[in-house]
Amino acid sequence: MWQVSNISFSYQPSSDRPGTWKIDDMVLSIPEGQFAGILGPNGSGKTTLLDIMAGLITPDCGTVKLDNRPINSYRPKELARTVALVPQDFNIRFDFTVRQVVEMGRYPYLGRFQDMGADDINTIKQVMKELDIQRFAERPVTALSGGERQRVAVARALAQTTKALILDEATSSLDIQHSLSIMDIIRQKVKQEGLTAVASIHDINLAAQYCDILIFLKNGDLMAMGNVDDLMEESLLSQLFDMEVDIHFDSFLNRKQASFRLPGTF
Amino acid sequence: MILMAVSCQMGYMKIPLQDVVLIIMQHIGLHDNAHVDPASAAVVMEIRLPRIIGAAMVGGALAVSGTVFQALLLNPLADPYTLGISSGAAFGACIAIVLTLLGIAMPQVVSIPVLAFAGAMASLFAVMTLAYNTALGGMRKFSSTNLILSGVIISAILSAAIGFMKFLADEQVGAIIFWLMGSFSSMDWSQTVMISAVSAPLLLLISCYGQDLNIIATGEKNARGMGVNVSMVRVLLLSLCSLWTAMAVSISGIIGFVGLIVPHLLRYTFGPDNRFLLSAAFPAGAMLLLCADTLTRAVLPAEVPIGVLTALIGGPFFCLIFKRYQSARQI
Repeated sequence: MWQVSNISFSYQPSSDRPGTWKIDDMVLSIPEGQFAGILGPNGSGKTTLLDIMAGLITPDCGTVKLDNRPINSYRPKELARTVALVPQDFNIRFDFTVRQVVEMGRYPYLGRFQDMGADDINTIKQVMKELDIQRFAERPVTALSGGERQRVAVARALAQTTKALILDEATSSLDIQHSLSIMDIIRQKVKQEGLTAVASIHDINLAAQYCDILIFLKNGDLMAMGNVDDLMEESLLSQLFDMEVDIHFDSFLNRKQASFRLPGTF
Repeated sequence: MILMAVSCQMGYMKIPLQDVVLIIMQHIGLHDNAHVDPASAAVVMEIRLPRIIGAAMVGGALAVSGTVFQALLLNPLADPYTLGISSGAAFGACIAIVLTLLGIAMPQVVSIPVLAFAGAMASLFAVMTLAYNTALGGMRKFSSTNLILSGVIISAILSAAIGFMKFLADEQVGAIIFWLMGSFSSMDWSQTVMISAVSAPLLLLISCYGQDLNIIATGEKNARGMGVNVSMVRVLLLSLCSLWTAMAVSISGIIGFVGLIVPHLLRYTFGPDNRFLLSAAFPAGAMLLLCADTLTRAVLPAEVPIGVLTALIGGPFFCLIFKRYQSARQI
Protein backbone atom coordinates (compact mmCIF):
# COMPACT_ATOMS: atom_id res chain seq x y z
CA MET A 1 0.00 0.00 0.00
CA TRP A 2 2.73 2.44 1.00
CA GLN A 3 6.26 2.63 -0.31
CA VAL A 4 8.28 5.16 1.57
CA SER A 5 11.74 5.67 0.13
CA ASN A 6 14.59 7.67 1.63
CA ILE A 7 12.45 10.36 3.22
CA SER A 8 13.94 13.00 5.46
CA PHE A 9 12.08 15.74 7.21
CA SER A 10 12.96 18.49 9.66
CA TYR A 11 10.82 21.14 11.29
CA GLN A 12 11.87 24.75 10.91
CA PRO A 13 14.67 25.41 13.35
CA SER A 14 13.48 27.44 16.32
CA SER A 15 14.34 27.86 19.97
CA ASP A 16 12.65 24.71 21.21
CA ARG A 17 13.20 22.58 18.14
CA PRO A 18 16.76 22.83 16.91
CA GLY A 19 17.11 22.13 13.22
CA THR A 20 17.81 18.44 13.45
CA TRP A 21 16.24 15.78 11.30
CA LYS A 22 12.96 14.60 12.70
CA ILE A 23 12.97 11.74 10.22
CA ASP A 24 16.32 10.77 8.73
CA ASP A 25 16.59 8.91 5.42
CA MET A 26 13.86 6.40 6.17
CA VAL A 27 12.85 3.52 3.92
CA LEU A 28 9.87 1.32 4.62
CA SER A 29 6.96 -0.28 2.85
CA ILE A 30 3.65 -1.47 4.19
CA PRO A 31 1.91 -4.27 2.25
CA GLU A 32 -1.80 -4.23 1.61
CA GLY A 33 -4.22 -5.85 4.01
CA GLN A 34 -1.93 -5.60 7.02
CA PHE A 35 -2.25 -3.94 10.39
CA ALA A 36 1.02 -2.19 11.18
CA GLY A 37 1.87 -0.77 14.58
CA ILE A 38 4.45 2.00 14.97
CA LEU A 39 6.24 2.03 18.29
CA GLY A 40 8.91 4.19 19.79
CA PRO A 41 9.64 6.55 22.67
CA ASN A 42 8.11 10.04 22.72
CA GLY A 43 9.71 12.31 20.15
CA SER A 44 10.94 9.43 17.99
CA GLY A 45 9.09 10.76 14.93
CA LYS A 46 5.93 8.63 14.96
CA THR A 47 3.47 11.45 14.37
CA THR A 48 5.74 13.05 11.77
CA LEU A 49 6.01 9.79 9.85
CA LEU A 50 2.23 9.32 9.96
CA ASP A 51 1.64 12.90 8.81
CA ILE A 52 3.96 12.28 5.88
CA MET A 53 2.21 9.02 5.05
CA ALA A 54 -1.14 10.83 5.18
CA GLY A 55 0.14 13.43 2.75
CA LEU A 56 -0.29 16.23 5.30
CA ILE A 57 3.34 17.24 5.23
CA THR A 58 5.78 16.90 2.39
CA PRO A 59 9.17 15.40 3.22
CA ASP A 60 12.23 17.53 2.49
CA CYS A 61 13.57 14.74 0.31
CA GLY A 62 12.53 11.26 -0.70
CA THR A 63 9.22 10.01 -2.07
CA VAL A 64 6.07 8.44 -0.67
CA LYS A 65 3.98 6.22 -2.88
CA LEU A 66 0.43 5.29 -1.94
CA ASP A 67 -1.17 2.52 -3.96
CA ASN A 68 1.72 2.73 -6.47
CA ARG A 69 1.23 6.43 -7.07
CA PRO A 70 3.24 9.33 -5.68
CA ILE A 71 1.20 10.73 -2.83
CA ASN A 72 1.62 14.31 -4.07
CA SER A 73 -0.07 13.42 -7.35
CA TYR A 74 -3.41 12.92 -5.57
CA ARG A 75 -5.98 15.68 -5.53
CA PRO A 76 -7.14 16.52 -1.97
CA LYS A 77 -10.53 14.80 -2.18
CA GLU A 78 -9.07 11.84 -4.05
CA LEU A 79 -6.49 11.37 -1.32
CA ALA A 80 -9.23 11.55 1.29
CA ARG A 81 -11.06 8.73 -0.52
CA THR A 82 -7.89 6.61 -0.33
CA VAL A 83 -6.54 7.26 3.13
CA ALA A 84 -8.29 8.45 6.29
CA LEU A 85 -6.65 9.81 9.39
CA VAL A 86 -7.56 9.68 13.06
CA PRO A 87 -5.49 12.49 14.57
CA GLN A 88 -3.95 12.52 18.00
CA ASP A 89 -5.90 15.49 19.29
CA PHE A 90 -9.52 15.56 18.31
CA ASN A 91 -10.54 18.69 20.13
CA ILE A 92 -13.42 20.50 18.55
CA ARG A 93 -14.30 23.97 19.77
CA PHE A 94 -17.68 24.28 18.17
CA ASP A 95 -20.53 22.17 19.47
CA PHE A 96 -21.33 20.13 16.39
CA THR A 97 -23.39 17.05 17.14
CA VAL A 98 -21.78 13.63 16.92
CA ARG A 99 -23.82 12.87 13.83
CA GLN A 100 -22.71 16.09 12.10
CA VAL A 101 -19.06 15.24 12.77
CA VAL A 102 -19.40 11.70 11.41
CA GLU A 103 -21.25 13.04 8.37
CA MET A 104 -18.24 15.24 7.60
CA GLY A 105 -16.44 12.01 6.71
CA ARG A 106 -18.54 11.81 3.54
CA TYR A 107 -17.21 15.17 2.34
CA PRO A 108 -14.70 13.71 -0.18
CA TYR A 109 -17.54 11.88 -1.94
CA LEU A 110 -19.84 14.84 -2.34
CA GLY A 111 -19.82 17.68 -4.84
CA ARG A 112 -20.18 21.22 -3.61
CA PHE A 113 -23.91 21.30 -4.27
CA GLN A 114 -24.62 17.66 -3.58
CA ASP A 115 -26.48 16.35 -0.56
CA MET A 116 -25.90 12.96 1.02
CA GLY A 117 -27.63 10.07 -0.72
CA ALA A 118 -29.01 6.82 0.70
CA ASP A 119 -25.57 5.15 0.45
CA ASP A 120 -23.94 7.90 2.47
CA ILE A 121 -26.62 7.72 5.13
CA ASN A 122 -26.24 3.94 5.35
CA THR A 123 -22.48 4.24 5.76
CA ILE A 124 -22.95 6.76 8.56
CA LYS A 125 -25.45 4.49 10.30
CA GLN A 126 -23.14 1.50 9.94
CA VAL A 127 -20.02 3.11 11.41
CA MET A 128 -21.97 4.71 14.23
CA LYS A 129 -23.26 1.28 15.13
CA GLU A 130 -19.82 -0.33 14.87
CA LEU A 131 -18.34 2.18 17.28
CA ASP A 132 -21.35 2.15 19.56
CA ILE A 133 -21.87 5.90 19.41
CA GLN A 134 -25.43 6.05 18.09
CA ARG A 135 -26.67 6.43 21.69
CA PHE A 136 -25.27 9.93 21.82
CA ALA A 137 -25.55 10.77 18.13
CA GLU A 138 -27.39 14.02 18.81
CA ARG A 139 -25.19 15.23 21.63
CA PRO A 140 -22.60 17.96 21.00
CA VAL A 141 -19.05 16.58 20.71
CA THR A 142 -17.87 19.22 23.15
CA ALA A 143 -19.93 17.53 25.87
CA LEU A 144 -18.39 14.07 25.42
CA SER A 145 -15.72 12.40 27.51
CA GLY A 146 -12.28 11.93 25.96
CA GLY A 147 -12.95 8.30 25.20
CA GLU A 148 -16.31 8.95 23.59
CA ARG A 149 -14.82 11.74 21.51
CA GLN A 150 -12.03 9.47 20.29
CA ARG A 151 -14.59 6.90 19.13
CA VAL A 152 -16.32 9.67 17.19
CA ALA A 153 -12.97 10.47 15.56
CA VAL A 154 -12.54 6.84 14.52
CA ALA A 155 -16.12 6.69 13.25
CA ARG A 156 -15.58 9.82 11.17
CA ALA A 157 -12.45 8.32 9.61
CA LEU A 158 -14.23 5.02 8.89
CA ALA A 159 -17.07 6.98 7.28
CA GLN A 160 -14.53 7.95 4.62
CA THR A 161 -14.58 4.24 3.58
CA THR A 162 -10.94 4.24 2.49
CA LYS A 163 -8.54 1.41 1.63
CA ALA A 164 -6.00 2.76 4.07
CA LEU A 165 -6.36 4.11 7.57
CA ILE A 166 -3.88 5.97 9.77
CA LEU A 167 -4.41 6.15 13.51
CA ASP A 168 -2.23 8.45 15.58
CA GLU A 169 -2.48 7.31 19.20
CA ALA A 170 -6.14 6.61 18.64
CA THR A 171 -6.54 4.52 21.75
CA SER A 172 -4.23 6.24 24.23
CA SER A 173 -6.97 8.16 25.99
CA LEU A 174 -9.41 5.27 26.14
CA ASP A 175 -10.16 2.83 28.92
CA ILE A 176 -9.13 -0.78 28.38
CA GLN A 177 -12.48 -1.98 27.09
CA HIS A 178 -12.88 0.76 24.53
CA SER A 179 -9.30 0.63 23.34
CA LEU A 180 -9.62 -3.12 22.79
CA SER A 181 -12.91 -2.65 20.98
CA ILE A 182 -11.43 -0.04 18.64
CA MET A 183 -8.40 -2.24 17.92
CA ASP A 184 -10.74 -5.15 17.32
CA ILE A 185 -12.88 -3.21 14.84
CA ILE A 186 -9.76 -2.15 12.94
CA ARG A 187 -8.42 -5.70 12.94
CA GLN A 188 -11.71 -7.09 11.63
CA LYS A 189 -11.73 -4.52 8.84
CA VAL A 190 -8.16 -5.52 7.99
CA LYS A 191 -8.96 -9.25 7.95
CA GLN A 192 -12.37 -9.10 6.29
CA GLU A 193 -12.33 -6.06 4.06
CA GLY A 194 -8.64 -5.90 3.19
CA LEU A 195 -8.10 -2.53 4.89
CA THR A 196 -4.49 -1.47 5.40
CA ALA A 197 -4.05 0.18 8.78
CA VAL A 198 -1.08 1.94 10.32
CA ALA A 199 -1.32 2.95 13.94
CA SER A 200 1.10 4.55 16.33
CA ILE A 201 0.60 2.80 19.63
CA HIS A 202 2.10 3.43 23.03
CA ASP A 203 1.25 0.08 24.54
CA ILE A 204 3.58 -2.57 23.09
CA ASN A 205 1.41 -5.39 24.38
CA LEU A 206 -1.69 -3.97 22.76
CA ALA A 207 0.27 -3.70 19.50
CA ALA A 208 1.54 -7.28 19.84
CA GLN A 209 -1.99 -8.47 20.46
CA TYR A 210 -3.56 -6.92 17.34
CA CYS A 211 -0.93 -5.97 14.76
CA ASP A 212 0.60 -8.07 11.98
CA ILE A 213 3.67 -5.90 11.51
CA LEU A 214 5.62 -3.79 13.94
CA ILE A 215 7.75 -0.77 13.11
CA PHE A 216 10.22 0.50 15.71
CA LEU A 217 11.30 4.13 15.52
CA LYS A 218 14.03 5.74 17.55
CA ASN A 219 15.39 9.29 17.11
CA GLY A 220 13.92 9.58 13.63
CA ASP A 221 15.49 6.35 12.45
CA LEU A 222 13.83 3.11 11.52
CA MET A 223 15.31 0.73 14.06
CA ALA A 224 13.53 -2.43 13.01
CA MET A 225 10.53 -3.57 11.04
CA GLY A 226 9.00 -7.01 10.61
CA ASN A 227 6.44 -9.53 11.73
CA VAL A 228 5.19 -9.29 15.28
CA ASP A 229 6.75 -12.60 16.30
CA ASP A 230 10.17 -11.64 15.00
CA LEU A 231 10.18 -8.22 16.59
CA MET A 232 8.86 -9.18 20.03
CA GLU A 233 12.40 -9.89 21.07
CA GLU A 234 14.18 -8.89 24.26
CA SER A 235 17.32 -7.26 22.90
CA LEU A 236 15.40 -5.16 20.35
CA LEU A 237 12.83 -3.91 22.82
CA SER A 238 15.37 -3.09 25.51
CA GLN A 239 17.34 -1.12 22.94
CA LEU A 240 14.18 0.69 21.76
CA PHE A 241 12.96 1.79 25.17
CA ASP A 242 16.23 1.70 27.19
CA MET A 243 14.70 -0.63 29.71
CA GLU A 244 15.04 -4.19 30.90
CA VAL A 245 12.58 -6.42 29.09
CA ASP A 246 11.19 -9.87 29.55
CA ILE A 247 9.25 -11.50 26.71
CA HIS A 248 6.93 -14.37 27.50
CA PHE A 249 4.34 -16.28 25.55
CA ASP A 250 0.86 -15.47 26.75
CA SER A 251 -1.28 -18.55 26.22
CA PHE A 252 -4.43 -16.63 27.08
CA LEU A 253 -3.93 -14.27 24.12
CA ASN A 254 -1.90 -16.75 22.11
CA ARG A 255 0.63 -13.95 21.55
CA LYS A 256 3.99 -12.84 22.86
CA GLN A 257 3.78 -10.12 25.50
CA ALA A 258 6.45 -8.00 27.16
CA SER A 259 7.13 -6.81 30.70
CA PHE A 260 9.38 -3.84 31.41
CA ARG A 261 11.35 -2.50 34.34
CA LEU A 262 13.82 0.32 34.78
CA PRO A 263 17.37 -1.03 35.07
CA GLY A 264 18.14 -2.00 38.65
CA THR A 265 14.61 -1.83 40.04
CA PHE A 266 12.39 -4.62 41.39
CA MET B 1 -38.93 43.94 4.24
CA ILE B 2 -41.63 44.66 6.76
CA LEU B 3 -39.03 45.96 9.13
CA MET B 4 -37.73 48.21 6.39
CA ALA B 5 -41.17 49.64 5.70
CA VAL B 6 -41.85 50.21 9.38
CA SER B 7 -38.47 51.87 9.74
CA CYS B 8 -39.35 54.15 6.81
CA GLN B 9 -42.35 55.61 8.59
CA MET B 10 -40.43 56.48 11.70
CA GLY B 11 -38.38 59.61 12.07
CA TYR B 12 -38.54 63.33 12.57
CA MET B 13 -41.22 63.58 9.96
CA LYS B 14 -43.92 61.03 10.58
CA ILE B 15 -45.13 59.38 7.43
CA PRO B 16 -47.99 56.89 7.69
CA LEU B 17 -47.16 53.33 6.77
CA GLN B 18 -49.61 53.14 3.89
CA ASP B 19 -48.03 56.22 2.35
CA VAL B 20 -44.61 54.56 2.58
CA VAL B 21 -45.90 51.52 0.78
CA LEU B 22 -47.62 53.69 -1.82
CA ILE B 23 -44.49 55.74 -2.43
CA ILE B 24 -42.33 52.68 -2.93
CA MET B 25 -44.88 50.99 -5.16
CA GLN B 26 -45.21 54.12 -7.20
CA HIS B 27 -41.48 54.22 -7.73
CA ILE B 28 -41.18 50.68 -8.92
CA GLY B 29 -44.14 51.29 -11.23
CA LEU B 30 -46.67 49.06 -9.51
CA HIS B 31 -49.02 51.83 -8.57
CA ASP B 32 -50.05 55.05 -10.19
CA ASN B 33 -50.75 57.48 -7.47
CA ALA B 34 -50.73 61.20 -7.16
CA HIS B 35 -52.19 61.87 -3.72
CA VAL B 36 -49.00 61.38 -1.78
CA ASP B 37 -47.31 64.46 -0.43
CA PRO B 38 -44.21 65.02 -2.63
CA ALA B 39 -42.17 66.02 0.41
CA SER B 40 -42.90 62.66 2.01
CA ALA B 41 -41.98 60.94 -1.21
CA ALA B 42 -38.65 62.76 -1.31
CA VAL B 43 -37.89 61.93 2.31
CA VAL B 44 -38.66 58.26 1.80
CA MET B 45 -36.95 57.79 -1.53
CA GLU B 46 -33.94 60.05 -1.19
CA ILE B 47 -33.13 59.92 2.50
CA ARG B 48 -34.68 57.05 4.36
CA LEU B 49 -34.77 54.21 1.88
CA PRO B 50 -31.12 54.33 0.78
CA ARG B 51 -30.08 54.61 4.38
CA ILE B 52 -32.28 51.71 5.44
CA ILE B 53 -31.14 49.39 2.66
CA GLY B 54 -27.54 50.44 3.27
CA ALA B 55 -27.77 49.72 6.99
CA ALA B 56 -29.28 46.30 6.31
CA MET B 57 -26.58 45.42 3.77
CA VAL B 58 -23.77 46.53 6.07
CA GLY B 59 -25.27 44.56 8.95
CA GLY B 60 -25.54 41.46 6.79
CA ALA B 61 -22.02 41.86 5.45
CA LEU B 62 -20.49 42.19 8.91
CA ALA B 63 -22.50 39.27 10.30
CA VAL B 64 -21.54 36.87 7.52
CA SER B 65 -17.89 37.97 7.69
CA GLY B 66 -17.91 37.36 11.43
CA THR B 67 -19.36 33.88 10.93
CA VAL B 68 -16.68 33.05 8.39
CA PHE B 69 -13.82 34.40 10.51
CA GLN B 70 -14.98 32.49 13.57
CA ALA B 71 -15.13 29.18 11.71
CA LEU B 72 -12.00 29.72 9.65
CA LEU B 73 -9.79 30.78 12.53
CA LEU B 74 -11.39 28.37 15.04
CA ASN B 75 -11.93 31.40 17.16
CA PRO B 76 -15.24 32.30 18.76
CA LEU B 77 -14.01 35.83 19.45
CA ALA B 78 -13.09 36.67 15.88
CA ASP B 79 -14.96 39.27 13.90
CA PRO B 80 -13.89 41.96 11.45
CA TYR B 81 -13.63 44.43 14.32
CA THR B 82 -11.64 42.40 16.86
CA LEU B 83 -9.25 41.18 14.17
CA GLY B 84 -8.35 44.73 13.22
CA ILE B 85 -9.70 44.41 9.70
CA SER B 86 -12.23 47.18 10.21
CA SER B 87 -9.46 49.43 11.49
CA GLY B 88 -7.35 48.59 8.47
CA ALA B 89 -10.21 49.46 6.16
CA ALA B 90 -10.88 52.66 8.11
CA PHE B 91 -7.23 53.62 7.82
CA GLY B 92 -7.33 53.08 4.07
CA ALA B 93 -10.51 55.10 3.79
CA CYS B 94 -8.99 57.91 5.88
CA ILE B 95 -6.07 58.10 3.49
CA ALA B 96 -8.57 58.52 0.70
CA ILE B 97 -10.40 61.30 2.54
CA VAL B 98 -7.20 63.11 3.46
CA LEU B 99 -5.89 62.83 -0.08
CA THR B 100 -9.05 64.48 -1.30
CA LEU B 101 -8.75 67.19 1.35
CA LEU B 102 -5.17 67.80 0.30
CA GLY B 103 -6.47 68.54 -3.14
CA ILE B 104 -5.44 65.36 -4.88
CA ALA B 105 -8.60 64.89 -6.84
CA MET B 106 -10.06 61.42 -6.88
CA PRO B 107 -13.69 60.40 -7.03
CA GLN B 108 -14.36 59.31 -3.45
CA VAL B 109 -16.90 56.73 -4.51
CA VAL B 110 -14.00 54.81 -6.02
CA SER B 111 -11.00 55.81 -3.92
CA ILE B 112 -12.53 55.12 -0.50
CA PRO B 113 -13.57 51.50 -1.17
CA VAL B 114 -10.36 50.67 -3.02
CA LEU B 115 -8.06 52.04 -0.35
CA ALA B 116 -10.28 50.55 2.37
CA PHE B 117 -9.90 47.11 0.80
CA ALA B 118 -6.15 47.55 0.53
CA GLY B 119 -6.03 48.59 4.18
CA ALA B 120 -8.19 45.65 5.25
CA MET B 121 -6.02 43.11 3.42
CA ALA B 122 -2.83 44.66 4.75
CA SER B 123 -4.01 44.58 8.35
CA LEU B 124 -5.36 41.03 7.97
CA PHE B 125 -1.97 39.96 6.68
CA ALA B 126 -0.19 41.77 9.50
CA VAL B 127 -2.42 40.22 12.16
CA MET B 128 -1.97 36.71 10.76
CA THR B 129 1.80 37.11 10.52
CA LEU B 130 1.97 38.32 14.10
CA ALA B 131 -0.21 35.52 15.41
CA TYR B 132 1.33 32.72 13.36
CA ASN B 133 3.46 30.58 15.59
CA THR B 134 6.36 29.19 13.60
CA ALA B 135 7.46 26.90 16.40
CA LEU B 136 4.53 24.60 15.74
CA GLY B 137 6.01 23.22 12.57
CA GLY B 138 4.35 22.50 9.26
CA MET B 139 0.82 23.04 10.54
CA ARG B 140 -0.41 26.56 10.86
CA LYS B 141 -1.79 27.06 14.27
CA PHE B 142 -3.25 30.34 15.38
CA SER B 143 -3.87 30.39 19.06
CA SER B 144 -7.09 32.23 19.85
CA THR B 145 -5.58 34.65 22.29
CA ASN B 146 -2.62 35.43 20.04
CA LEU B 147 -4.96 36.27 17.22
CA ILE B 148 -7.05 38.69 19.27
CA LEU B 149 -3.93 40.15 20.82
CA SER B 150 -2.44 40.77 17.38
CA GLY B 151 -5.73 42.32 16.30
CA VAL B 152 -5.58 44.69 19.26
CA ILE B 153 -1.95 45.62 18.57
CA ILE B 154 -2.60 46.33 14.91
CA SER B 155 -5.77 48.25 15.75
CA ALA B 156 -3.86 50.38 18.25
CA ILE B 157 -1.19 51.23 15.70
CA LEU B 158 -3.83 52.03 13.13
CA SER B 159 -5.81 54.24 15.52
CA ALA B 160 -2.66 56.22 16.14
CA ALA B 161 -2.17 56.52 12.41
CA ILE B 162 -5.78 57.62 12.00
CA GLY B 163 -5.19 60.17 14.77
CA PHE B 164 -2.26 61.49 12.79
CA MET B 165 -4.51 61.77 9.74
CA LYS B 166 -7.02 63.78 11.78
CA PHE B 167 -4.18 66.07 12.73
CA LEU B 168 -3.28 66.44 9.06
CA ALA B 169 -6.88 67.10 8.13
CA ASP B 170 -6.77 70.03 10.54
CA GLU B 171 -9.94 72.10 10.23
CA GLN B 172 -11.87 69.61 8.17
CA VAL B 173 -11.39 66.97 10.87
CA GLY B 174 -15.12 66.80 11.46
CA ALA B 175 -15.71 64.86 8.28
CA ILE B 176 -13.36 62.09 9.35
CA ILE B 177 -14.52 61.95 12.95
CA PHE B 178 -18.18 61.58 12.22
CA TRP B 179 -17.56 59.01 9.51
CA LEU B 180 -15.20 57.06 11.77
CA MET B 181 -17.71 56.71 14.56
CA GLY B 182 -19.93 54.88 12.17
CA SER B 183 -22.93 56.54 10.67
CA PHE B 184 -25.49 55.98 8.00
CA SER B 185 -26.73 59.56 8.02
CA SER B 186 -24.98 60.56 4.81
CA MET B 187 -25.99 57.51 2.80
CA ASP B 188 -27.07 58.11 -0.75
CA TRP B 189 -28.17 55.82 -3.53
CA SER B 190 -24.71 55.43 -5.09
CA GLN B 191 -23.34 53.89 -1.90
CA THR B 192 -26.41 51.74 -1.41
CA VAL B 193 -26.22 50.42 -4.93
CA MET B 194 -22.51 49.72 -4.54
CA ILE B 195 -22.83 47.67 -1.34
CA SER B 196 -25.87 45.81 -2.69
CA ALA B 197 -24.09 44.97 -5.92
CA VAL B 198 -21.13 43.62 -3.99
CA SER B 199 -23.20 41.77 -1.40
CA ALA B 200 -25.26 39.56 -3.67
CA PRO B 201 -22.43 37.67 -5.43
CA LEU B 202 -20.30 37.56 -2.27
CA LEU B 203 -23.11 36.04 -0.24
CA LEU B 204 -23.78 33.42 -2.90
CA LEU B 205 -20.11 32.54 -3.27
CA ILE B 206 -19.43 32.34 0.45
CA SER B 207 -22.56 30.24 1.08
CA CYS B 208 -21.11 27.51 -1.17
CA TYR B 209 -18.41 26.88 1.42
CA GLY B 210 -20.60 25.98 4.40
CA GLN B 211 -19.51 22.37 4.75
CA ASP B 212 -15.85 23.27 4.09
CA LEU B 213 -16.09 25.77 6.92
CA ASN B 214 -17.68 23.17 9.19
CA ILE B 215 -14.80 20.80 8.60
CA ILE B 216 -12.14 23.48 8.94
CA ALA B 217 -13.78 24.44 12.22
CA THR B 218 -12.91 20.98 13.54
CA GLY B 219 -9.21 21.66 13.06
CA GLU B 220 -6.81 22.03 10.15
CA LYS B 221 -5.37 18.53 10.36
CA ASN B 222 -8.82 16.95 10.35
CA ALA B 223 -9.86 19.13 7.46
CA ARG B 224 -6.87 18.29 5.31
CA GLY B 225 -7.26 14.60 6.12
CA MET B 226 -10.81 14.82 4.83
CA GLY B 227 -9.80 16.36 1.54
CA VAL B 228 -10.59 20.01 2.17
CA ASN B 229 -8.18 22.28 0.34
CA VAL B 230 -7.64 24.31 3.50
CA SER B 231 -5.14 26.86 2.24
CA MET B 232 -7.20 27.61 -0.86
CA VAL B 233 -10.47 27.95 1.06
CA ARG B 234 -8.79 30.05 3.73
CA VAL B 235 -7.19 32.52 1.35
CA LEU B 236 -10.34 32.77 -0.75
CA LEU B 237 -12.77 33.31 2.11
CA LEU B 238 -10.51 35.64 4.08
CA SER B 239 -10.06 37.83 1.01
CA LEU B 240 -13.75 37.84 0.13
CA CYS B 241 -14.72 38.73 3.68
CA SER B 242 -12.08 41.44 3.89
CA LEU B 243 -13.41 42.88 0.66
CA TRP B 244 -16.92 42.82 2.01
CA THR B 245 -15.89 44.35 5.33
CA ALA B 246 -13.96 47.04 3.51
CA MET B 247 -17.02 47.92 1.46
CA ALA B 248 -19.14 48.08 4.59
CA VAL B 249 -16.60 50.21 6.43
CA SER B 250 -16.12 52.54 3.51
CA ILE B 251 -19.77 53.55 3.50
CA SER B 252 -20.53 53.47 7.20
CA GLY B 253 -17.32 53.79 9.19
CA ILE B 254 -16.36 51.34 11.90
CA ILE B 255 -19.29 49.43 13.30
CA GLY B 256 -18.05 46.93 15.81
CA PHE B 257 -19.39 43.72 17.26
CA VAL B 258 -22.25 43.06 14.84
CA GLY B 259 -20.05 40.36 13.30
CA LEU B 260 -19.48 38.93 16.75
CA ILE B 261 -22.95 39.01 18.24
CA VAL B 262 -24.98 37.70 15.32
CA PRO B 263 -23.08 34.43 14.71
CA HIS B 264 -23.08 33.74 18.44
CA LEU B 265 -26.78 34.26 18.88
CA LEU B 266 -27.49 32.12 15.83
CA ARG B 267 -25.10 29.37 16.91
CA TYR B 268 -26.55 29.41 20.39
CA THR B 269 -30.06 29.03 19.01
CA PHE B 270 -29.58 26.81 15.97
CA GLY B 271 -26.27 24.98 16.47
CA PRO B 272 -22.92 25.44 14.75
CA ASP B 273 -23.70 24.17 11.24
CA ASN B 274 -22.22 26.82 8.95
CA ARG B 275 -24.33 25.70 6.01
CA PHE B 276 -27.28 27.13 7.88
CA LEU B 277 -25.45 29.91 9.71
CA LEU B 278 -24.09 31.53 6.55
CA SER B 279 -27.53 31.99 5.05
CA ALA B 280 -29.13 33.02 8.33
CA ALA B 281 -26.40 35.47 9.32
CA PHE B 282 -27.14 37.89 6.50
CA PRO B 283 -30.81 38.57 7.30
CA ALA B 284 -30.11 38.46 11.03
CA GLY B 285 -27.26 40.95 10.80
CA ALA B 286 -29.34 43.12 8.49
CA MET B 287 -32.22 43.18 10.94
CA LEU B 288 -29.99 43.89 13.93
CA LEU B 289 -28.23 46.82 12.36
CA LEU B 290 -31.43 48.17 10.86
CA CYS B 291 -33.07 48.13 14.28
CA ALA B 292 -30.03 49.81 15.82
CA ASP B 293 -29.98 52.44 13.11
CA THR B 294 -33.69 53.11 13.37
CA LEU B 295 -33.26 53.40 17.12
CA THR B 296 -30.61 56.09 16.88
CA ARG B 297 -32.34 57.84 13.99
CA ALA B 298 -35.92 57.93 15.13
CA VAL B 299 -36.26 56.93 18.76
CA LEU B 300 -33.35 58.53 20.57
CA PRO B 301 -33.64 62.30 21.06
CA ALA B 302 -30.33 63.02 19.34
CA GLU B 303 -28.63 60.92 16.69
CA VAL B 304 -25.93 58.83 18.36
CA PRO B 305 -23.39 57.49 15.85
CA ILE B 306 -24.34 53.89 15.27
CA GLY B 307 -20.80 52.63 15.78
CA VAL B 308 -20.90 54.05 19.30
CA LEU B 309 -24.26 52.41 19.95
CA THR B 310 -23.19 48.95 18.77
CA ALA B 311 -19.93 49.16 20.68
CA LEU B 312 -21.79 50.15 23.84
CA ILE B 313 -24.09 47.15 23.51
CA GLY B 314 -21.60 44.76 21.91
CA GLY B 315 -18.64 45.41 24.21
CA PRO B 316 -20.25 43.91 27.31
CA PHE B 317 -21.50 41.03 25.16
CA PHE B 318 -17.93 40.36 24.06
CA CYS B 319 -16.84 40.26 27.72
CA LEU B 320 -19.59 37.75 28.43
CA ILE B 321 -18.52 35.40 25.63
CA PHE B 322 -14.88 35.72 26.62
CA LYS B 323 -15.72 34.83 30.21
CA ARG B 324 -17.85 31.88 29.17
CA TYR B 325 -15.20 30.38 26.93
CA GLN B 326 -12.56 30.99 29.52
CA SER B 327 -14.46 29.03 32.11
CA ALA B 328 -14.99 26.26 29.57
CA ARG B 329 -11.17 26.31 29.07
CA GLN B 330 -11.58 26.65 25.38
CA ILE B 331 -9.27 29.59 24.89
